[in-house]
Amino acid sequence: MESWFETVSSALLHYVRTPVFVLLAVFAVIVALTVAFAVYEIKHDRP
Amino acid sequence: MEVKKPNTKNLGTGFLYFYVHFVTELICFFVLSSCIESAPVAWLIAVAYDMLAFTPQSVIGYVSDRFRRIPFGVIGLALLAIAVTLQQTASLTFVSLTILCLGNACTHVNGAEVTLRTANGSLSHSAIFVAGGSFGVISGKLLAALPAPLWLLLLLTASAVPFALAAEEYLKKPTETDPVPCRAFRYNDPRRNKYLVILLSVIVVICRGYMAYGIPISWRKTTLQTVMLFCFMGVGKALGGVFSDMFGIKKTAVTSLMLALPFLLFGDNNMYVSLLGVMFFSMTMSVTLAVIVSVLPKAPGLAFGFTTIGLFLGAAPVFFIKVKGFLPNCIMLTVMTAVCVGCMLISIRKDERHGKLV
Repeated sequence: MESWFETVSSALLHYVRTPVFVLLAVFAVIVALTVAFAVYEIKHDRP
Repeated sequence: MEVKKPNTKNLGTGFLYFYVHFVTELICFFVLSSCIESAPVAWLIAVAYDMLAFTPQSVIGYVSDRFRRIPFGVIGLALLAIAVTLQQTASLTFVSLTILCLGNACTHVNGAEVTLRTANGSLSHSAIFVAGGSFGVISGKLLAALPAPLWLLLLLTASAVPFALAAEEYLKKPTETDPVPCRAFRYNDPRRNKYLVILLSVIVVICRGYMAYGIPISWRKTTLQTVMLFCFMGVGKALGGVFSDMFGIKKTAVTSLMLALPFLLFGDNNMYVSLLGVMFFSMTMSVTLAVIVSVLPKAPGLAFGFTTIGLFLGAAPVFFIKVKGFLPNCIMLTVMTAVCVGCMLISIRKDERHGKLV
């Protein structure tokens, strides 16, 4: 009988391979970079 | 009421990139409409397109801010030509869509860079540039219904290249070498934390993006009516920038949103009332961009990217959660309008009159 851990892991692995997850991952990376760039620009904004 | 003479210096960049933006969206929506027709998962293609076209603009914009010599405008148009050729000749749907999205992002970013850097603090330039998109979207959708030959699409794409190159001429010194190219944009309230200003502006963009899909338009039944809808959207975007320059950005933003609400709510079965509402509703597009640029004056491309991320975040939920019914939509529109007005009242500085704040 499959344990809960195996059930969750196989579901997650299945989800990771879907296009929606890939899109979400790309989106997360882009947003993280955008925020990082904005923080850098604001910190280095001298009058 | 003080009426200022609008700044028309370098306004040519706005009109030049109006056409480039028009062609970009025409090609994109032609390809997108053609792909969605034959695709088994149309909604996934639409979500993927929105994400890949909108969100990378912040990163591409930042690269453009740092490396001004890269001709993103021409690169974008070249990518559009490649995408449409692949889609028409080899039916490589996902490859052509990916290249299409990158091309779209590049031309958008360059349009923002050129119009913001040459505007000297005015909103008209970027507003006119942005307005071109609405006309392009409807043109692309209409063209997709016809058997448009590949040579026509490539010719249209090529016709935008001289416009993009001409716009670059406006970027000659001193704007090219100024380390703070958008120093004249000072629309954020200096008492507010800069991160808060960016967050509130993005919230406004998200709300507006979602609201656009909830506007009750039962009157829209014919192709001509759809064309008029998109035309009024485009006119509203352009007027938003012009009115902001003439009457003040805060006044224009708050007044246009509040005026839009009753027209949108009561225009469900009346086209003319609804079109006025759509026009007022579209006026805030350039305002949010100007506020974010005010906080990031050295990185206008990055600032533009924040608005496109907001647009995606506003449009994406529509694919999964849609408010149905007239009354729930009206409640949603009213609540979101209140949120947008509140965010703008907090983040935008007071308008100036005779050089003094009022």
